[in-house]
Amino acid sequence: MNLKIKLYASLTPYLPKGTPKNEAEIEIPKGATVQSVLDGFNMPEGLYKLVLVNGVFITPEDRASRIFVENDVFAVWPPVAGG
Amino acid sequence: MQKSLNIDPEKCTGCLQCELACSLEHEGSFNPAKSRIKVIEFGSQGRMVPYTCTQCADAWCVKACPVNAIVINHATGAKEVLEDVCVGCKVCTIACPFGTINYSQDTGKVVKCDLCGGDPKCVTACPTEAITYVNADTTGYDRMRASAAIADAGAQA
Amino acid sequence: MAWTEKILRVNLTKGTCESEPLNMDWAAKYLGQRGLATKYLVEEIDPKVDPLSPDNKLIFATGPLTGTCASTSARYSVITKGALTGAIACSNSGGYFGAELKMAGWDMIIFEGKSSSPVYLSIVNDVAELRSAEHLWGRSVWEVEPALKAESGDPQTRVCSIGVAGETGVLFACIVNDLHRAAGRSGVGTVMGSKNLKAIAVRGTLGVTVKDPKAFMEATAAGKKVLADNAVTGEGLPAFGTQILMNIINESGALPSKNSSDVQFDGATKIGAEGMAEIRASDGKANLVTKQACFGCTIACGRISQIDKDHFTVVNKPEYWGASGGLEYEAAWALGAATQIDDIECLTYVNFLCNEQGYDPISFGSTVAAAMEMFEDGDLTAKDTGGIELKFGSAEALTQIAELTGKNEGFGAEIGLGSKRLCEKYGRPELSMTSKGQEFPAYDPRAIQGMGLGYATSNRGGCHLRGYTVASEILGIPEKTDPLETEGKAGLVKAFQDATAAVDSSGLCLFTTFAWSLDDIAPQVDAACDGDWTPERLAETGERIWNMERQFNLAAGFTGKDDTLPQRLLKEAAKTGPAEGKIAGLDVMLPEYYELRGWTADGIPSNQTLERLGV
Repeated sequence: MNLKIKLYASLTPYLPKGTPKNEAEIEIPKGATVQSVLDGFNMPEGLYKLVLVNGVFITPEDRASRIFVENDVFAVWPPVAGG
Repeated sequence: MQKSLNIDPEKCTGCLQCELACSLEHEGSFNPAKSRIKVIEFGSQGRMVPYTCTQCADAWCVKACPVNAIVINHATGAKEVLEDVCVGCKVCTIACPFGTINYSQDTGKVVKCDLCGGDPKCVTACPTEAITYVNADTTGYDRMRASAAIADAGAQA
Repeated sequence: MAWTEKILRVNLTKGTCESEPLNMDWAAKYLGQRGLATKYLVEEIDPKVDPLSPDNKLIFATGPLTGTCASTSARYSVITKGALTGAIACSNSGGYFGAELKMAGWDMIIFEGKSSSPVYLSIVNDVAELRSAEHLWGRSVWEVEPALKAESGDPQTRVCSIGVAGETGVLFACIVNDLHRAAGRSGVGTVMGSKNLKAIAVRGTLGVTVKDPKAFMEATAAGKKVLADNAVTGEGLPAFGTQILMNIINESGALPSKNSSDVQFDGATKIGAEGMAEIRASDGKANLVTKQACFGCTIACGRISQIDKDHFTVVNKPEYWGASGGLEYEAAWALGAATQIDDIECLTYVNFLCNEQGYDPISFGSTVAAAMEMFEDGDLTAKDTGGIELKFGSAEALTQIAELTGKNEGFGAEIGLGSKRLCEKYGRPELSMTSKGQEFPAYDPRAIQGMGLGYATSNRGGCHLRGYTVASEILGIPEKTDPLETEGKAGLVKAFQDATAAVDSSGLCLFTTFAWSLDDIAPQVDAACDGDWTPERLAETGERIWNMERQFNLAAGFTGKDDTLPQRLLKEAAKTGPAEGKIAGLDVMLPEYYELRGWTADGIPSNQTLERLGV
């Protein structure tokens, strides 16, 4: 199934080559979890921190069990802050 | 090996930690007003440029001094002011085309960068490597490398 | 040693400048900057005074670490009774001005009274004098700084000033230093203008010393390493600035839009960090030119931007073609998300105007959003606005209003009242997104519950900086909490508020706390300052400051009933995103907050609490 994925800041280069801006639609197998999709990008551990599905933070403990469903929007950031 | 301060303005953020470190080293307090390295801001262009004495091999200040108060440190290549010889005539400040030797009202002597005897404190203090201390013969190497990459990208296109 | 132990007291009525010793007992209890200056203010003014009367005082205060080699040692604060709110006003700024004041040998400047004609204060080390500013009155911040540098004969002079907004009584006028840094909120610039004080020009060549230089160098070096190794302060903030938040907060469904009718904005992707970095088709350049640090700062979150010369806002206006202070997250939110405008060049131009004429983009943008809602509802007409079609999404309208507000002219004078007075005037008080009269910024309490409690209880009115629990609730710093939950938020908010008050009193920047805790800060303060400064003592100092500010506000006439939020947030649920269906759960969090604070059920600090803290 399709997954809308947004990788921001220093994570953007991990999107498929030629992706305009920060968003891409990727094909994922049924039953794919948050962790499995993250692992698929080969990002070094610690590089990502804010892992949101439909705007909701998925804790590190839940990432291996949270399965994606149709129309989910996946957004990821490295450790960042502001004010 | 003689080393030079290498300035990369692109990396300067204007934090003035270099000025703080220089004044602490030479004056014993945090006092950028007394720093021998100054960060010059070209605000409307968004540029910050650290600048200080470039230790001319054939220095105007050395030649101008009537009492031979400026000497060459052969280990570092730095031109150093002998405070007990300097009379504060300020002729060196007129001679230097770069403005990097200046008079100090407090001491009655001139002050300039002396590379801290070979361990420049501004280099240690700079958080972004806008100031580095590198082999004097190859300060342009990183830029040459970057330019080569651009030329190569063109050649491969 | 750290503190210079000297205050400059300037009586604007008499035209005198005098040095007096710093009260070291108070320094021991309140540290410096925010805490110490607030102590002076609450001791010296009547809490019921009119903020714009000569009897209000205006204090510029550095912290003990300001001007040292500690990272982020730039900070100073402006303390007064706020023109916008009538509450304690404490506005923090960076840049270079504060460090220069410290170098000149002054911990603080206290302005009293009112000058009979426009003046500016000149300080060169221990020589301080008031000089005529008749020739500067009516001129912008961007004209005044070069003029005063030229007048002083020393290009290394640092300047802070008000623009025309402060002179003419825009209630959210600010004080701008170094061209694009600001003591931004609560109308501290309005108070400065009410005293006929145009600017301060300072040059300091005396230097700053600390108690134990060796220990200080070790502690500050350790602190700098923590900042450099931390992904947020060492990489994220310098690379992307605060504007990285735009898409995060939007994705989290917490971006107040359309005057808080919505919690998300489609245009967010165009007006955040990504928008600033995008190469423009028109001129092949990006809005973002480079990053910039404040004095001593090894993080460098500041943004420097350049507007497209051909953009409608600046075409034929070369004075706006140069690089200058660019959008921060809060400004971009207020000018763009709140108003539904997605034109980043327009937002940058308006941000430039805010710096040029000295007015707060947060209060301005939020007030414009409220006015837009009134216009679309018909409470305001084109006749009222002088022909401006004040509709959501209109970059043209925002531009016109911004130009007028800077000069307090036309409909800009109405905007200059701030949203509370403006909405009351036109019969729609419920449309003002304020707490205690100050517009709150870029985080919707329905989706970040702790911030709702923070806005409602902030001592200076709606503010995100008094207790930035977004760090925990969204960003996971130091620990992640659930933004949609109210449980545990009372304790979280109190902890953030107390720690923040301490940091705000030290001379250091709050952004260090994305990497540092009080455990990292205490050794630096301890090595610099007399006395033993532990993390516990800093936290207690913060709690003391918080209660002192609270007491002042109560004496000024505020009550627990003012610890509230607009009805829209309390009654109308978020329409989209993770918080869909949720309202701000203030009623659940507030009683527990009062209890944890040691206050009565009406929000009054108990005698026991005041005694424990020594307030």
